[in-house]
Amino acid sequence: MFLWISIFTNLGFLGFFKYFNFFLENLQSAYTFFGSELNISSLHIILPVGISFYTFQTLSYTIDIYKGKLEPTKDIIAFSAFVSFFPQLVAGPIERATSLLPQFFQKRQFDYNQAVNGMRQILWGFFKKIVIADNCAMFANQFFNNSSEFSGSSLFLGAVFFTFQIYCDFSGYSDIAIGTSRLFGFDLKQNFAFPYFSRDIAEFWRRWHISLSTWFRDYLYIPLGGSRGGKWMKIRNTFIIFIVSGFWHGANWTFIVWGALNAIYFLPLLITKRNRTHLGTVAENSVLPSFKEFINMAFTFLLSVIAWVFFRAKNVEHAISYLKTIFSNSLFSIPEFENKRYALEIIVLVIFMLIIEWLGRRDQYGIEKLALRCNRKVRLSIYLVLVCLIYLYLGKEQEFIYFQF
Amino acid sequence: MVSFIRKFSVFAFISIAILAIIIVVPFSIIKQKARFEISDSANIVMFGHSHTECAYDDEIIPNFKNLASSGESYFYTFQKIKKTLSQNPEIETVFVEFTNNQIDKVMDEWTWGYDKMSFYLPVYLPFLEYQDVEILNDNNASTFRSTISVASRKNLFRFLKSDYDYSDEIGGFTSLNVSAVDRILDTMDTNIQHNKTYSTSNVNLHYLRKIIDYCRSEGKDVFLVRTPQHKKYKMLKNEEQFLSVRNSQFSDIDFIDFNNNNLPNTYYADLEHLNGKGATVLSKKFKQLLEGGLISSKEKFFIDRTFHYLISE
Repeated sequence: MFLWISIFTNLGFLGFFKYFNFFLENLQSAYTFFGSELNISSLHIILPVGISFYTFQTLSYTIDIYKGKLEPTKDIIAFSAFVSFFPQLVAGPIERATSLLPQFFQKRQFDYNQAVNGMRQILWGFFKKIVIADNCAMFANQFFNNSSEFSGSSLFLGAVFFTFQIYCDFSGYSDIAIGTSRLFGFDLKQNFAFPYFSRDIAEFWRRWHISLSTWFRDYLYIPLGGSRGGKWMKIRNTFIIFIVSGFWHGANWTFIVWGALNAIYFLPLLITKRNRTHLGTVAENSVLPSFKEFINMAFTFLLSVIAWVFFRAKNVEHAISYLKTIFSNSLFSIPEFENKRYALEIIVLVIFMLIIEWLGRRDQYGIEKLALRCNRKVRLSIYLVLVCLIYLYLGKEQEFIYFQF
Repeated sequence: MVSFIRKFSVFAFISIAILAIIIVVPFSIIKQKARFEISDSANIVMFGHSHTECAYDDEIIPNFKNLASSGESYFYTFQKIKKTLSQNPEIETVFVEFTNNQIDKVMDEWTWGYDKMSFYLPVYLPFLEYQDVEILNDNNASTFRSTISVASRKNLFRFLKSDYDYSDEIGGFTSLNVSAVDRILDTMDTNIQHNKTYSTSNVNLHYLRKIIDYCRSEGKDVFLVRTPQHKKYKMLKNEEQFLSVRNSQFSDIDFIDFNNNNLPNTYYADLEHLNGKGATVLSKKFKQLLEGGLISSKEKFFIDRTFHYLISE
């Protein structure tokens, strides 16, 4: 009973703050559709920052205790610190109580190597956020906010810019959060494992927002039956988990369609039992991928670009018209937009980031061990180049996308 | 931990030193080598924003150079004028656009808003004086800081390419080949109630005064000029206040007003800009005035230092 009270309370707060107006608007639309009216005014609610993250974190605590994986803590300070641990409070990674809570009871001693590792990860996170994400945002906004004025090729470029924006924005934040925690002697989970090097969508979802994907896997997908049972059961569970995952991001149909689209991408792999084909790292024992791996990565990347259009668009109609323009004849025209020269500089920096991440794809983050393979002077030079790039490409400040969730 | 703090401090110090070099070296070299030279034959120049940029064709007006630039507030015009006058001693006369929107509060945004600052500051930052920097920093510190990095990047590239020629960046005549007034008027909401009180941009007026004083200190003739705008242009609603500012703060300077005009809609690109056709008409009239002695025998034209000239087809 306590479990259900906890679940309903947590989800109740989340539902009220995040989804009340969405349900109300859709209910009103449904009433209008059937010829009657529902006169309930929507609420002007300020969404608490990071509510989706700490709600899930507290839910995991309750469920893990119920399952006997964790002893309930009597230390209110440790529990409060677990829920409100500042580096990951507003945008994750979503930590499990079994992993983070015990760390508050350990005596911490300063660890030089861990602190340096943390600083390195913070530096890489800032590079991704400030240099790549914020500058890609400038171009993505230009294309998405005025999509009717651009050709298919320009809009495709806009979608690619957004694809890198959202990755570098969110994984950059995760790097900063994980690195900051390391400085304080805490270990947080890896949240992104170079998802754009995935060879299929199943692998992509094992590498993207790992803390949320595994949360849904453990607390929703497996309790629903997971991949046990018949074919239709698997299909149902897959759709549920992807749609709920989309809905978790926000009260908008665009997120739901984005989730459903990813489920559609995933289904063929599930049905043909190829969803666990690529469990290791791509090109594990070589520098470059094989031709087949490269084609698979490019195809998976393209699928994610299309899905991100729904995530970024104002509404579903906007996303559809955006995609229609992309898949028109104008896809083969030369993109025309403002500030082309600067866009070219940003594309070069994106390629630089991809090369670094490719070289560090077996590690926790791009430059984790890459710099350590070089001598001290080269290592210092790499860090200084990153600092200079961060300064020189500091553009208009953009809020982290996932703060709104 | 001591070792960590020591090493981090050394790294931070080296980073700051390198950044300082990246910023200071290009800026100081650009400051020395920047070239703002214009054509030798031009001894009359005009500054302003897009109204001016689209209105005065320097191929029609002899010995004249249009140096106006879209979206430029007086803050940046002042920097441009200082460099241009110092490197072009043949300039004798300076015309400066003075129109209704330039007294409006919106000019504050044109001075320290992100869009304008990130465009103009990279061009003029090496030439700013301490009090100019102070104004930007005091009014929009966060944007100023992020724009400094944009300016550093652009100036670093300029330095690496040894490109010190600013002649392509300081403005020039732009001919607009559209005529959208009728369409704009058809879709314009005439029921919009305009605010009766208008607030002024003190910073813009302060820099206009600095422009005038600087030109005079350099021994140049200065005129304010108002370019034609369509009667329905919303920014003309502050006319009363505009005249009040003119009379109270700039009554010591000659003002040529072309705004009273009978130009048909087809001579405008939109409600505030002349198109190529309108620019040709205005430029020919302006040429006539200059040849008629507007500069040399001002008393012939001006009443109370204001000269109204009716422009028609």
